[in-house]
Amino acid sequence: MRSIRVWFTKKDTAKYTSHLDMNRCMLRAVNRAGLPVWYTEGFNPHPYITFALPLSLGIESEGEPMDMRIEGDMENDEVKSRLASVMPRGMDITAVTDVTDNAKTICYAEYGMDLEFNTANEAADFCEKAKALVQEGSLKAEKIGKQGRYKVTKQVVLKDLIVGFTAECVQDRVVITTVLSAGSSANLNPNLLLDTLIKETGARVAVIKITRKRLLKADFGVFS
Amino acid sequence: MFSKELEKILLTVQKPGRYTGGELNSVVKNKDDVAIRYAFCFPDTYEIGMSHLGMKILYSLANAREDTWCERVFAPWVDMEEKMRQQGIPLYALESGDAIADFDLIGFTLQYELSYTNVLNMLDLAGLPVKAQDRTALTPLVIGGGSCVCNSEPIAAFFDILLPGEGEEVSEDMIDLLKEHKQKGSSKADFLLAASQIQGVYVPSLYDVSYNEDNTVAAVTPLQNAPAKVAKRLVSDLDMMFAPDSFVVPFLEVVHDRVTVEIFRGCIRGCRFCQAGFIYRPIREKSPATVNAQCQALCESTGYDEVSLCSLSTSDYTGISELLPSLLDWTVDDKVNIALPSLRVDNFSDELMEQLTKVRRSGLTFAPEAGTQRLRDAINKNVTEEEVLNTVRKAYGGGWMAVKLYFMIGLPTETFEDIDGIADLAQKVVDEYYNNPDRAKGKSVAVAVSVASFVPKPFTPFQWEAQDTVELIEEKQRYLRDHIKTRKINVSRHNAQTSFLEGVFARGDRRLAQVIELAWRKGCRFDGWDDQMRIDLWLEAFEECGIAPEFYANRKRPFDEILPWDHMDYGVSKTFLIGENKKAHASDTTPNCRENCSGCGVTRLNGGVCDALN
Repeated sequence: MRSIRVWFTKKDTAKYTSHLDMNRCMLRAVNRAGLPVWYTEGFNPHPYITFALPLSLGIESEGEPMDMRIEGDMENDEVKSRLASVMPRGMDITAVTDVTDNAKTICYAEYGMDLEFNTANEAADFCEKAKALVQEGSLKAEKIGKQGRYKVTKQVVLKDLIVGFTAECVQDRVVITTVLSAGSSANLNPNLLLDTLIKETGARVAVIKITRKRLLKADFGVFS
Repeated sequence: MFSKELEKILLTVQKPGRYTGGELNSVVKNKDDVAIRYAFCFPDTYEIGMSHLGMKILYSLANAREDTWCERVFAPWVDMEEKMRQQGIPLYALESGDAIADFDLIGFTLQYELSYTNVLNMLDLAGLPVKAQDRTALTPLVIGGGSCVCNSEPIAAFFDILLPGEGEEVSEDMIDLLKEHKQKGSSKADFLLAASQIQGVYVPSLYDVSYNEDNTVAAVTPLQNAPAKVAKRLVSDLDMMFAPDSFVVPFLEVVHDRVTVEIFRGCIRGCRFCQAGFIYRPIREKSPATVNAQCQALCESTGYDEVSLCSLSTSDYTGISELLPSLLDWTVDDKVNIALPSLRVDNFSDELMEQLTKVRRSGLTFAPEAGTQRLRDAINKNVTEEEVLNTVRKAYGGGWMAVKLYFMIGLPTETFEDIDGIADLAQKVVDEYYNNPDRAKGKSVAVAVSVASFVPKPFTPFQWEAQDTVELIEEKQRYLRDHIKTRKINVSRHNAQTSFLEGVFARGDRRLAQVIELAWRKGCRFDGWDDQMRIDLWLEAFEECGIAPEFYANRKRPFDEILPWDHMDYGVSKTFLIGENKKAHASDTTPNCRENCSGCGVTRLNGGVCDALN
């Protein structure tokens, strides 16, 4: 038995698949591919699959890692080609690798945001204001968290969680690239950042597309 | 593929995965390459509709044709509907995202009466007039199938065509005929005339219904050579019948999220309350080899880890002892679970139980239906208390600690003694657990008792009976609750008002169309959902239309009354049903079809053949 890391994309309508549904979807893909996957040995035997950093509903991704254990000596290439032929639309297998980094080493995630506005003026206005707000560093947002059994609303200072932020206005669109804290200790959902920016600027965005580009470690090396 | 307006609202509604399509095995074709675009509509949520086997079969069947692209459409939940109306997004099909108003064929499956307002709502969301007479062009043609078609009179005004019986063959006929007439540029009237000559096609506009002063039906008169009786369609040979080799695999968790394969159609039992037991006759079995091959192919193409064998009474399948070992040959290695719903307590064997637990243990449900032997005899549910207790004893011995029991209240001839019987039987099932010396120590048993309210249905021996009033049903429900003495028994019941409405539409006539339309305009939809059902609006609608719903639900009909569905022929003869009704009132049972054919008359529609006779 050995662990492997499967990298897959999540694009177009596949982005509407929730994390819980992803798990079920991948179990079925593994069945269809006939992979010699390792099963848990309890009353309800099932393949053991984990996702390093679950992706929020509505966000696309260029490469999500999913870990599983397989038995026997099937090569990574064989796993890749078998899985690739049975995936739903929008979920493509980009690579199958050995597990190098522990999922706990994920510290940051890089996102691309593609915002479309009704006019070029609105786009330019938002772009300038958003850059200024991030630069200034006083952005705060409310986040619903848990304290024991209770749900509590926490104030979050966003500047501590934004590591990189560039915005560029191209006609009626604004293209943002941002690196945000990610992982179990500190995490910023890109939707929260964007919602806060939209609220503070009073902008009206016609279409929003957010894509997770890659996952990074503490030294900004690419998670692999 | 989806519009920006749609993309924008998707993240603001619950479960956007209901509205996006793109699932594995969903069929995408080039619209320019097909002659017929077919929107297959299920008038309920995605999760319910995606569980329906009939839809999976007919979807694959239509898409197997090169000239047709069949897509799925479900009723958007209330939050999505609101957003769609706000943004002016018309009802679209999941595969292409295209508005269904531009399709050639719009087919609804009518599985339960409480989905009728959803049909109107979906037509309206599509931007189409709800009434058939207001849709003057040939396409989109609105057709309906499913079990409710055995009495589709209350909704006949909204459909161009209704298809009684099984859909496999008649779907092909409809597509062929529509393609031909579309190419010829026929009028809708010409097309409907031609369609009415095909067996299993009911064109409601070609029948004139007149009424007596007492509101009963005086006559149903066919027009323009339409047949006086519309006979249902059925497929004779299930081994030769089209069967899908893949299912669309949803991302969302749906109600029945597994591979389902039919093992036979019809039922040998003749329980007198059960509409399915009569309208799906005669018995036709699929061979174990076919079932096994279909199960395996579907598991491979979908990746599901559970297979459910589907029929009205699984343990009556003559091939079960041959089928199970051949399934277990591969399911154990592939970690695929086998589910056998609809087992009977009188032939549930140790061997069967052992085989079922080889991969995973699923729930155990039995349906005694009534609390006393007298009433079980009256409804012809031929199981005894001893058989029920024997079976739960085996189940407890096999490690089960939760048992579900299904009952009905409001059955014809029922008295409060029979309700006592439900409480007593449930108690005995609990006691049986503690009488078992081998039971797991320190663990408790849970008996779930589900009590449905009986609704008399067309084409059953009880089609003439009065349904219990809402007040009486609620009194019986309270009575039962007060007679349950232990918390080990958990009773769940059906909303009596929901059952009342179901009863009205099950045996209603064409005058109810105005009530359905008015109730829908007042905001009724998803009437089968307790949190959406608005009985106040329904009662208002009945009142404003001057129609008393009790006339349909709570009135006992004489045998010689013309029933609104008498011009439909489901094979089973009225003489047979009257005989069964009389036997019910005498608490006299009828043996099952394998023991003794009781001459229901259905073989007339199948060239004299019924597999129960072999």
